[in-house]
Amino acid sequence: MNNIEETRTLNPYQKEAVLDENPACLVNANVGSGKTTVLIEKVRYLHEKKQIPYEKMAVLTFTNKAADEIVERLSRKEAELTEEELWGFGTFHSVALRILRRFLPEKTEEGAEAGEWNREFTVITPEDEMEMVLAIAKEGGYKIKYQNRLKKRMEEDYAAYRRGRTQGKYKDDLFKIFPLLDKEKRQENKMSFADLLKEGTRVAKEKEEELDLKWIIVDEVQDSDEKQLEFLEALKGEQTRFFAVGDPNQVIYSWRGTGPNMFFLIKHKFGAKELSLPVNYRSSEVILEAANRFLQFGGKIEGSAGRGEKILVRNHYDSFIEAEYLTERIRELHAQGFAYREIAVFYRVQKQAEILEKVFERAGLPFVLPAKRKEDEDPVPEKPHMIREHFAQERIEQSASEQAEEHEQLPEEKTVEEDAVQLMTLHASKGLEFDYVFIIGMNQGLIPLRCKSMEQEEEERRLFFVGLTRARRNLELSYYTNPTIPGTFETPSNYLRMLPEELLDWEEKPGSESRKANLQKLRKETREMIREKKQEEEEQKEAQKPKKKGRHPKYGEGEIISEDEMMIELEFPGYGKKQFLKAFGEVEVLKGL
Amino acid sequence: MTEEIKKLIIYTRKMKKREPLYRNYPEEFREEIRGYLESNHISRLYAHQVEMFEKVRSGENVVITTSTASGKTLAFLLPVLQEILEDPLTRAIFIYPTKALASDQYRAMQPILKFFGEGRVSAGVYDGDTKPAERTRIRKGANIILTNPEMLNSAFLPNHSNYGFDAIFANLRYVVIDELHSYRGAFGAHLANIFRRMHRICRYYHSNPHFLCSSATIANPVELAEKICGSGFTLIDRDGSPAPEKEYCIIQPPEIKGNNDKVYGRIAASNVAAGLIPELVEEDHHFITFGRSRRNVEVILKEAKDKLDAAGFLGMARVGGKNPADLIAGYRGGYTPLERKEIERKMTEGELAGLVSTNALELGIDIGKLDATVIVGYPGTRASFWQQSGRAGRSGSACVNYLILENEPFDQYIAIDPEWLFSRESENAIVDPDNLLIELAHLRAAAAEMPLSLGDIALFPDLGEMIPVLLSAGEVKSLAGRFAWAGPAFPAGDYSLRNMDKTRFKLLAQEDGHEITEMDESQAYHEIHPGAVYMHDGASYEITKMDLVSRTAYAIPFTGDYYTVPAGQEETRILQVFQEEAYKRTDIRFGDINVNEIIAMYKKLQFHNHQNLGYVTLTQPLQKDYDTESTWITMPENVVKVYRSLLQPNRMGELVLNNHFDGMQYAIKNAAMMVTMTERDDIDVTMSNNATIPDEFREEKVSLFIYDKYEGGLGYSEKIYDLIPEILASAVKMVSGCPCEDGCPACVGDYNLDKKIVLWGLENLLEESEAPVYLKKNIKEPQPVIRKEFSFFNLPDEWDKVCYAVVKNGEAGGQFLKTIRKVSTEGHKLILTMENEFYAKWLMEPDNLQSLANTLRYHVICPADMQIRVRFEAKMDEQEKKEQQKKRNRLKRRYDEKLGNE
Repeated sequence: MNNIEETRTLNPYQKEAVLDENPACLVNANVGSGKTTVLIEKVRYLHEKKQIPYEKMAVLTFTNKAADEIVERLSRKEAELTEEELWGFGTFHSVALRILRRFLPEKTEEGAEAGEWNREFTVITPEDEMEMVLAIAKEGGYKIKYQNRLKKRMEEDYAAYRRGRTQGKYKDDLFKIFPLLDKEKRQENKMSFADLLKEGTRVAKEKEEELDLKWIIVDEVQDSDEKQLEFLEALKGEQTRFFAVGDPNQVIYSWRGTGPNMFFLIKHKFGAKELSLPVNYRSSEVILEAANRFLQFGGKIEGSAGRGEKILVRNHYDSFIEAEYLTERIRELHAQGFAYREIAVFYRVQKQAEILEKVFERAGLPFVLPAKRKEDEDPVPEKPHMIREHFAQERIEQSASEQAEEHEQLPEEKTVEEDAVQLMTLHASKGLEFDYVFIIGMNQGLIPLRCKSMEQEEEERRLFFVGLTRARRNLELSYYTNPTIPGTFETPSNYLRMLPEELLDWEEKPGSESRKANLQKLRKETREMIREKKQEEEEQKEAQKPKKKGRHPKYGEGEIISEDEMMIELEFPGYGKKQFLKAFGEVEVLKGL
Repeated sequence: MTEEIKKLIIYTRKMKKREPLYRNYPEEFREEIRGYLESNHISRLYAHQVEMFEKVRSGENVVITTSTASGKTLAFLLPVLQEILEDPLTRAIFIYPTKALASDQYRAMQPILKFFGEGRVSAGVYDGDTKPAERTRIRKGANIILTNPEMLNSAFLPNHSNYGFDAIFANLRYVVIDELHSYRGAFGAHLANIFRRMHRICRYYHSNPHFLCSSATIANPVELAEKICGSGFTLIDRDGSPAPEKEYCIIQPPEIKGNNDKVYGRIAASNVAAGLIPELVEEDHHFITFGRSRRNVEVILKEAKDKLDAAGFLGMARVGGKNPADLIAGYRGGYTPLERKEIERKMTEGELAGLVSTNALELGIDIGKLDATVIVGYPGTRASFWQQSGRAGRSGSACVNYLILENEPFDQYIAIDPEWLFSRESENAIVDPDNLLIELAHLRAAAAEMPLSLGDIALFPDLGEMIPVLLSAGEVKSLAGRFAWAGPAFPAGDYSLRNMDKTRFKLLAQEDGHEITEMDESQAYHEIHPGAVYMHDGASYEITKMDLVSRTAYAIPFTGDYYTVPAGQEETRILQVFQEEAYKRTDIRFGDINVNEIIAMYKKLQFHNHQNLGYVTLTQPLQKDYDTESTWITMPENVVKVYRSLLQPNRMGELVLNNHFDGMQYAIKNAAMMVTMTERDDIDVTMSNNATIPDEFREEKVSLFIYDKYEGGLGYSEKIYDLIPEILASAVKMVSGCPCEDGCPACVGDYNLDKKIVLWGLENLLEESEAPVYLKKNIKEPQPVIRKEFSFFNLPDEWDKVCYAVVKNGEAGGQFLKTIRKVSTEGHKLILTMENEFYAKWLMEPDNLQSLANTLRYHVICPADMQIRVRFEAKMDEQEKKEQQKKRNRLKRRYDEKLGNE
């Protein structure tokens, strides 16, 4: 998985980033440019060369996976690392959680009565929180409209309430419930994910001196939102240095509160020096050249992995035929030596996975999907906001697994071990890389989804950029003739047209002029085929027929070519054709042949 | 029954009552099913219902041909229910030829569905009118899905992998096909190929549905079922349901003769029907009348209503406080679904006594219990005849079926030889699933549903030839040894299953713009051209204009006394010859032709007497033409010469009668249908336009065209081209071998033709021989006759009687005629004196005078040069008035008695 082994020498850009000691530094890292390596090398450099203890560092990531990777690499050098030492290594939520466990008051009678959180709090999921809201509503006789959409309303309205709003647009009692919910959670000593971050920020600010961080290091900084920024600010003391890595081209969660400007906002806020990592170690030149077309910030990505193969562009009739095709194609790739786990299929909306699942399962092709969400009655995100919701959930689930971390070592996900084809949405592909990547459903209206604004359109492009740059060796893009996802057009995506032709192996579907089927013409051609075949068969039959032979006293044995009442014609080897009058009886017809 | 009608019955046959044959519930029956039946007081089942259950349960495909009222719906449902109750995932698709029938059958299933409850057995109609939410419900979980072939073709199969449909196909146990006999010809070939596609999909989802079919009486139900469903079948034809005694009466409409025995023509079958219907109403029958065309239905309806009105006027009792005319209604395509449903309801609930319908009601829509049918004109096949007459007899009491003969060869042959109708088997239903165009169309659709593999050749026999063609057209591409669709979206939409014209015309009321009806282009040209009278459930509209661009016609209400019939002609033109060869004495060619139907004029026919009020030429002739494929053969000169010499002029002086080419066409069409497995509506045969023109230009040979009745052709003619020797040989054999004495509808179509001459013509295509001596046929059987009761010269004395005759006939002019005060004659002049100036003026309008003359000629023997004069005179004196009143009263009593007694 890792392009750069530890033994490998860093390139000059990477080296500069590792050695940098400015009070604040922001590294604009292109995709596949080895930013994780830089992060790890930086941590090791600070620890080993600069003698900075791990507990004086906060290394913040966006996924557990990324945090685990860092910890795992550090553990290779130092087996004896303790949890206490590494309290600051992890996702924003898990670091906040550890701060709270450490600094919140002990559990006391008075505290409980006063309705204060203590350090023995439990973490609740959004579903748990929703249950609480419903219970409060029931008890107090409050009315909530649109209960089936309560989860989404909670996300929006609860956040609005925290920002000081007192009334929602639906004119029901939800906003009256929020203060009661706040109270209830404290009384029951429960915290939601949002509470973790909010309380974490408050406590961190109070205990900033006690924490005494020397370095804050942030991965994927472009994805942070306002709340996370506040948390960073709370952690950061006067003397704390700040080092962050990010790629403004990979902003795909602007609906979460980040924007393409977050990268630059942070730069401004901390007066950071900007460095860059321009060299991509992951993908072939062909793929990078294609990706360059979708680059919005910074110059070109430089490659180092060789030219590579052309990008395949394929057309499939519909999602079912495509799934059948993928089955065959992936088997073929596997036979060529690709591990299944190195093959990924990306799609824009979750619903597209359904048919792949069914067909792969039927064919016995191993595959994994991101964990399924049972509560989704309707797994059909058709509108952008719904996709957001889905993804927001995915991210939160990752947070949810943080709870587990407290009690036991996070079990390695089974999927990583299994050699199986990876199915996921483009969003979920972020941060991953594969040898062979399929991006399916390249139809206008699906990739990109129909956009309401320029900002949305730009984000769709970045999302596609993320997808493209996941591929190391091969990329195969496809579009449907007959798309079934609502809102999707039959025309191929404009993104395909934006890719340089010379990079593509595009098997274009028949042009639109031949769209009207000419059944009559096809029928006539078929009829002709049938005629020809019949004729051939007859000729063959004729050829196989045993030839009648005759004998002539002078010419010997010959083949009878024709015969009527009067005449008989034979062909003799060496003499050629001869005709005889039957009446003369010269020719003896040979029987039994 | 009045003597008048009784006199017209030339043949009666009684079919004995059939006793029911019951059996006990099958052992296997689930308790719930027993419970349902017992709660409905069904303690035993008909034998065929049990037989069906057993055969289906033992895994056989079954086709059942028991009668219309034999409980076929229950027979289908019992095994399906058993399966659903055993396995709630079970799915069954019920296929009906029309949307109307599907919803009717859904209604019929309601009691069963209610008994078991949605949780145990759920069902729904899934067709073009089904709302999205209902569609979702059905896809998700309906056990029984009622639909039609179009939906299967364009919704179910192409979306098999989509949410819900995959579950349907994975759990599909039964496919039920109702009215199997309607899937003949091209329509049947389409359905057969739809099932080929379905087999592929079911195989993918590991299901293997069984087929349950019902068919009307046809000669080959098992063969038809096997061809359409692609598997072996067992027949159930032993009917366990009881049937009442059935009487069949053939009615020959009388010739109209004058005193001098001169034949003035024959009364139209529709006219006799219009006379018979009021009697059926009065005798409290529940009946259905079948007309041969939409127009026929409306004319019969209107005339019957007029007569019922007149009868009401003349004292017929009002039934249930209702005007007798409101006791009958029309029923045909072109009525809105809502109108139709309302009519069905009224009929079922007894608010109506009878319907006048097209063959739309041949199919099993439930309209309650009937005890009489009236078939106006032989419907063309015995299968149709039995199907239509089979609609009566549900009630258990005796029923009677009338067949009123048209003045056409087929019908008139039945008059001569009624046994021909009753003693022979129903026709074969023909279907050719391997029709190249249809097979190809569905193979393309199949490729888009699931990549084709060479193994599919078991389903699509011409796969091996079609795939290379599709490959080179870029419509399929190779996919690991299979072939995936690479053509444009939705190939299942590239054809239509029923050869239906997609161009629709709307008819709007000019006054308020509401839509009266809509129809296809060809119907529009015949029925709603400018000046046409369009009738809709007894109401009449006159078409004021027709806009061909927006495809809209406008109409105003019409109260006139006539209807219109368009007069058109068909022309064929050779476009291109692809292949030709000589065969014996004829040349065979195959190529493209253009068939052009031109409607240039129409005639106005007066109601009741059907006299022509004159021709009107359309300012813009309406043309509908299409290119199609044809095989045509030239006629040897000696045949043309003899046939032309036998032609006889009609009244207009045109040499069109006694045309033996007609006989030849008829025989060749029959032979071609048989040899190429084609239905009557798939192909047509016509002669070149020069056939009947004497001494027509020599170089242009007279030819006989056989062509596909589908735009672009369906491949029938192409097949025929290769098979002409066989077709001619069987035509000769069919005509010479026909057991009839001298020509019948089976061999030469028109019994007036000389069979020997037709046969000689056919033989001379192969080998020259001397023409036989033509014998003018004279096979006049004694015919029922009505004489015109009145004479022109007695009109002054018998005027009131004439008026009553007209009124009784339901003619609109009757009441008006009574306002004429005095009638006299001067030579061949009829002088009418009126006391109302306005009426007099109205009558003097030429159209009205013509209409009056027609009415009179119908009832009265009139001089050919009769002239009518109208005079206006002031009121008569009291004495005269009293005289007339007395006379009227006397007459009215007489007629009342007559009407009441019979």
